[in-house]
Amino acid sequence: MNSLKSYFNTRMLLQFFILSLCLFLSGTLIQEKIGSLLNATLETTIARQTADMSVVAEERFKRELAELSLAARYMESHPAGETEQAMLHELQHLEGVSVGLLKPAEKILPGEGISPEDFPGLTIAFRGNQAVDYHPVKGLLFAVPVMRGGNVRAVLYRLYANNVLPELFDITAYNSDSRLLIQAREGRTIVPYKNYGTEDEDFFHDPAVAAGYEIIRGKLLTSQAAATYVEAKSGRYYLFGADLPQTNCTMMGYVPWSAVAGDIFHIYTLTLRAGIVILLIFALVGIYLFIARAKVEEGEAWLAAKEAADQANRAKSVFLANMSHEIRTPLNSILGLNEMVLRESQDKAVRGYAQNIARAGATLLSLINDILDLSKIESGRMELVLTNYDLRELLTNAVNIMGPRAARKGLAFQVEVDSVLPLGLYGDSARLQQILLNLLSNAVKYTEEGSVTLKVQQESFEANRVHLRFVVQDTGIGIRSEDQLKLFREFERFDAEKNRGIEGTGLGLAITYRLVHLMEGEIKVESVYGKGSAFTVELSQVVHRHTPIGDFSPLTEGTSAQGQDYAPSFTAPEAKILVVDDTEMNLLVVTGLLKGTKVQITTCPSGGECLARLAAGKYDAVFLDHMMPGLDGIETLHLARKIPGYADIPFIALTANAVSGAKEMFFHEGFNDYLSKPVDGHRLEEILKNYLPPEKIQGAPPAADAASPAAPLGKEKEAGSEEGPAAAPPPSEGQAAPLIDVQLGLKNCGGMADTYWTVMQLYCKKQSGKREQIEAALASENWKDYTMYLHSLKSTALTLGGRQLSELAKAQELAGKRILAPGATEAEKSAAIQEIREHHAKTMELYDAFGAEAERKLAEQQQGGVSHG
Amino acid sequence: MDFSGRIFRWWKVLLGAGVVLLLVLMVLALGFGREEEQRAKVGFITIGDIREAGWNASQYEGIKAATDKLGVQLLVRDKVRENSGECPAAIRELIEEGAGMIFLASYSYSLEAKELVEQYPQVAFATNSAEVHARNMTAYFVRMYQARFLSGALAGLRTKTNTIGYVAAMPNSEVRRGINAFALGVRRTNPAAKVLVIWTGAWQDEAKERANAERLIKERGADVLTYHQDEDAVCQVAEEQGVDFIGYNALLSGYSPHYLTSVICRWDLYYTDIVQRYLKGELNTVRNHWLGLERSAVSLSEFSPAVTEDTAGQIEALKRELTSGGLIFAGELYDNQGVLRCAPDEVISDDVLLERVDWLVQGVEVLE
Repeated sequence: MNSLKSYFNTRMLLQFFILSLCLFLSGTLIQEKIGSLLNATLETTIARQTADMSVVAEERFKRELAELSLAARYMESHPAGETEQAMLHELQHLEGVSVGLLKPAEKILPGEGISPEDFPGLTIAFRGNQAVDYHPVKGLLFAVPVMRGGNVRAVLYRLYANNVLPELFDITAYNSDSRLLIQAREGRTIVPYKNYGTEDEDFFHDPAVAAGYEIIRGKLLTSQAAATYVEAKSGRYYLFGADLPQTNCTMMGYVPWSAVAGDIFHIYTLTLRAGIVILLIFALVGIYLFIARAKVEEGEAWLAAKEAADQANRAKSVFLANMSHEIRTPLNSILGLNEMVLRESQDKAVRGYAQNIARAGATLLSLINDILDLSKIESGRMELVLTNYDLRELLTNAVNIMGPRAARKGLAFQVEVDSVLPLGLYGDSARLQQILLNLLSNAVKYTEEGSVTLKVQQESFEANRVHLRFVVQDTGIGIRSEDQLKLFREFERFDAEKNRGIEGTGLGLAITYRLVHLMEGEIKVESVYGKGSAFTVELSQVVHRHTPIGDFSPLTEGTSAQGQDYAPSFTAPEAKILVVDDTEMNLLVVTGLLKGTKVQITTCPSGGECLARLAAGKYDAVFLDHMMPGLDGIETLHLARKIPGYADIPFIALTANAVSGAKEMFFHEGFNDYLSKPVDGHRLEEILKNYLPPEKIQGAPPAADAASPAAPLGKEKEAGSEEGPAAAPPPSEGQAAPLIDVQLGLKNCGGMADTYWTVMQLYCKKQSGKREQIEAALASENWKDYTMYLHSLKSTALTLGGRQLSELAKAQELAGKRILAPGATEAEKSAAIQEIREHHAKTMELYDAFGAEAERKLAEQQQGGVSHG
Repeated sequence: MDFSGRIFRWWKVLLGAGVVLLLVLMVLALGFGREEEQRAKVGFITIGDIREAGWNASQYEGIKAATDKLGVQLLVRDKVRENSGECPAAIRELIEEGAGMIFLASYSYSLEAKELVEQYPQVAFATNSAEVHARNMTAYFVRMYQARFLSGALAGLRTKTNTIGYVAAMPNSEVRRGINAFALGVRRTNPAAKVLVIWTGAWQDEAKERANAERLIKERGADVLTYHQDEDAVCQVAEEQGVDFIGYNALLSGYSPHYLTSVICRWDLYYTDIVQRYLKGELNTVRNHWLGLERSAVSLSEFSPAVTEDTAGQIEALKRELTSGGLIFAGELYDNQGVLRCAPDEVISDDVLLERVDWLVQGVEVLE
C-alpha cells in the first residue's frame, strides 16, 4: 500500500519535473528569441534613424560644396584675376581654413602641399565633378571645378585643418544619449564629437565595440545604414553607422542600450510577467477544475454509495419491523394461552412450566420490542408522544419494576430524588421510562454484588422548563475506557466471555442513546473497569405543574404480575362486549383473559359479522382488530358508528402494529383507545374497566379471589420461577389481616429495619396534617389534590405494610382519576364523586386506626421491642 | 495498474512533453521570425548569348560575380535583339518578377526603353549608353579610355611604320573617346605615328571587320592593329598577316606571337560597385559611376613575351602617372580638323567625354 502510494508520488513528481523542465526550456528559448528579435527590430529602427541622420550630416557637407560651387560659378562668369583673388579671400573665413584655386597646369607641380596624390578627390574635381576628400594630416578638402565651356579651367578648393573640424562639423544628435562622429571609410575618425576624450578612445578600442563597427562596415557594403547591438565592458550599446554617399566619409555613432531599448524591454518585461501571471492563473484554474471534477466524481460515487447503503438500511429496517410484527402475532397467542394455563391449571408442575414459558416469552417480547424500536428509530418513524405526566408515578413505576429484580439479586437499590423536582411534566413518559428501565436493568444485569443507585436531580430550572439529570450508578463490572466509545452502537456487548450468561440483544443502550437524542438530551458514561459505572442522562422537560415532588420514598405497589396469583380487578357480569379479530387464537386469548371479570363476551372473526352483531344486540364496548381481511378495523368502525345507539359506545383498537403515531391515528379515526398485541391481561382489564359503564362494574375484586374460578391460585407462587428466597410470605388476603403487616413493610423497605422505622416515624409525625389536607380537598371538591393525596397514601400505607388501607386508598384514588379523566361524562363524574363520598368515611376511619396502630408499633419498637416474626 | 498500463501512461506523459516542445519550436521557427527580407533582384538584358565570348560573356560574368558576392538574385534575359520590341517586353517581365534594378547592356536599349523608364520610377535602370537621361537611369561605364591610352602608348612604341590601324564599330562618343585616348597614347610615345580608323558600322560583322583589318594592313601598311568590336576577328587577320595586335576584352596570350596585350575591363568590380550603390540607395545621389584605372576596373592584360621589359616599364610609368591623378584629356588639344578642343590650362570634363565627343583628335585619320 505504502509502496504503491510512494510510487504514485514519485510518478507525480517526475511528471511535474518533466513538465516544469519543458516549460522552463521553452520559456528560456522564447525569451531569448524575443530578446534577440527585439534587438534586431531595434537595430533596424536605429539604422533607419541613422540613415536620416546621415542625410543631415551630409547636408552639412553639401552646404559647403554649394557655397564653393556658387563661388566657382561667379568665377566662371567673372574670369578676371582680381575677382578670383577677392573671392578666394572672401572664402577664407576662418583660422585653420585654406582656400585656393588650382589650375591644371599647376597641378603637375607639387603646389602648396595640395596634390592629387594626397587628395584623389582633386582628380575627380578636375574631371568636372564636386569632391570631398579627407587626408589624415592635411584635413578635410572640398573641391569644385571652375568651368570654361565644357572644360575645367581650374579647381576651387577649401581645406579645413583637423583642429577646426569638430567645431564646424560636429553633428549634434537629436538624442542627447547618442554620440556621433564622422570617419573616413577606412575607419579613421575625422570629426569626433565634443568632449571626445580618452574614455571615448577606450570605448572605441573595446574589442566588442571594434568588432561591432566591423560588422557595421560589412553591412554598409550593401546598406545605406546599419546598427548592431554590442555588450561592451562599460555596458550595452547600439552601434550604428551610415556612409555619406557624396564623400568618402562615414558617420558612426553609438547610443546606450537603455536609452533606446529600456522602455521597450520594460514593456516586454511587464508583458512577460503579465503572461506568467495569466499562465499561473490558468494553471490554478486548471488544477481547481481538475480537483473540482474529481470531487464531483467522488461526491457522486459517495452519494451513490450512501444511497445504496441507505436503501439497504431502510430495507433492513422495514424487514425488521415486518419480521418483528410477524413474530409478535404468534407470540401473542403463545403468551395469551400461557396465561390461560397459569390461571386455570391446578397442577403445580404445569404452572411452573407455564411460568417459565411466560418468562421466556416476556424476554422474547422485549427483544422484539427492542428490535422494533431500533428499526423504528432507524427508519425515522420513531416519534415522541408528548403528554402531561406525573414524574412521581413514572419514577415509582420504574422503581417498582426494578426494585424487586435488584432485590432478587441481593443488590441494594437506592433511590435519591430531589424533593424540589416539579411533579407534573410534559413529555413522552413512556419513552423516558424506557430509558430509565434500560439503564437500570443494565445496571442490575451487570452488577453481581453491591448496589444500584438511581439519582434524579434538578440541574437547573428556567421558564417552564426543568433540566433533569438521571444518574444510574452501579458497582458492577464496569466498562473499559476503549469500549466506552462503542457503547452506544447497536449490538455491542463487551466482555463476551464474561457476560455469556447475560441475555439481551445489545440494543438497549443503542436505543437509549437514540431516545435521549430524540428528546434532545445527552447521555454520558463514566466507568472504572471492575469498579462500576455511572450513566448520566440529561434532558429537559416542560413543566406543567410546579408542585414539588416532595419526599420520594419508593413504595412498591405490589400488584405486579410477577408470579403472583391472578385476581381479576373487577367483575361486570352484566356488561356485554364484542371482540373482533380474524385470528381465532387472539379471540381465544382475549376471551380467556377476561374470563375472571365475568363480562359477557361475544367474538366474531370479521368486520362484516361485527356490524351484523352490533345491529342485532346492544354492546357496552367493542374491541376491534385493525388489520383484517375484507373490512379492516377502521372501515368497520366508521360503519359501526352509523348504527343507531353506537355513536358513543367505546371502540378499542387492537393492533400488532404498535408504531408511534398509531395512537393518534386511532383517536383520529374515532377509536376511544387502543391496545397493542400481545395483549396484556392487566392492561386489558384496566381499559375495559375504564370504558364500561360504572354501574355495571361490581365493586372491586377483593372478594374475588375465592369467587374467581378462573384464578384458583394456590396461595404461594414461586416454584420454578424466582429464586424463591428472602421474601416474606406473600400478602395473605381474606380474613382479618393485621392493620399493619410489619413483615410486609420490612420487605417493602428492602429488608432494612432502620429505614422502615424511620419511615414509620416520619409517617406518624405527618399524619394529622395529611388528614386535614385530605378533608380539606374533599370539602372543596379539589379532586386533583384529593386523588394525589390518596395516591400517596396508597403507596405509603403499602410501604408500611398497611395493605387494607392501601387498597382503600387506591380505590378512592381510582375514583378520583375517573373524575379527572379527560373524556369523563358528567354521569361518570357524579358516579365517581358519589363513590368517593361513600367510601371516604370508611377510608378515614381506617386511616385513623392505622395511624394509631402505627404509633403503637413505633412506641413498641422504641421501647426496645423488636419486630414480630 | 499493470505494467503495460504504466508504460502507456508514461508514453502519454512523454508524448505531451514532446508536443509542447514541438509547438514551442514551431512557434520559434515560424511564428516569431519576421519574414526574411526578400532578396533583392537585379535584371540583366543583353543582346547576344551570355556564353558568347567578348562583350556578352564578359558582361554576364561580371554581373554574375557581383550579384553572387552581394547575395543578390540575378535575372537574365539574353539574345534580346535591338529595335525589335523584345527589349521592352523583357523589361516588363523582369519588373513583374520583382527586379528592382535592370541593366540594359546594349547601346540602343535605352532609347527603346525610354518610356518604360519613366513609367517605373521605382525601378532603377542602368545603361551603357549616354543617350538617354532620367532620374532613375544611371549611365554605367568604365574609363576604358585610360586603358586605350596605355595601349596606344604601347602601339606607339611598337610601330615601325608609324601607322597604326583601328577597326571601329560606329562613330559614337564611346568609340571616339577610345580612339582619341588611343591616339593620345600613341602620340605620347611616338609623336610621329598616326592612327588610321575604319568604321564597320556594326558591333558584330566579322566579314567587314576582317576586310577592314586586311585593308589597313595591305593598303596602308599598318603594323599594329587594334579594334573596338564585340568580336575579335581583327586579331585573326593580324595573326594571319603577321602584324602586332592589341585585343579588346580578349585574353589571347599564347594565341599568336604578334599578340601584345588586351584592353580589359573588370566588369565584376564595376558591377559590384554599382549594385552596391543600388542597394545602398545612392544611385540618385551620385551622378556618375565612372570607374577607371585607380580602382583597377580597367587595365591592360598581362603583356605577351613580344613586349620588352623596357617597353613594359614605360607603360607602367604612364599607368602610375594616371593613377596618381594624371589626366589624359588635359592641356592643349586640337582635333584632326584643327579645332582647339582643350586650351592649355584646361581639362575636358567627364560630362563632355561621356556624351559629346564628336571629334577625333589630331593624328587620327579615318579611312573611308
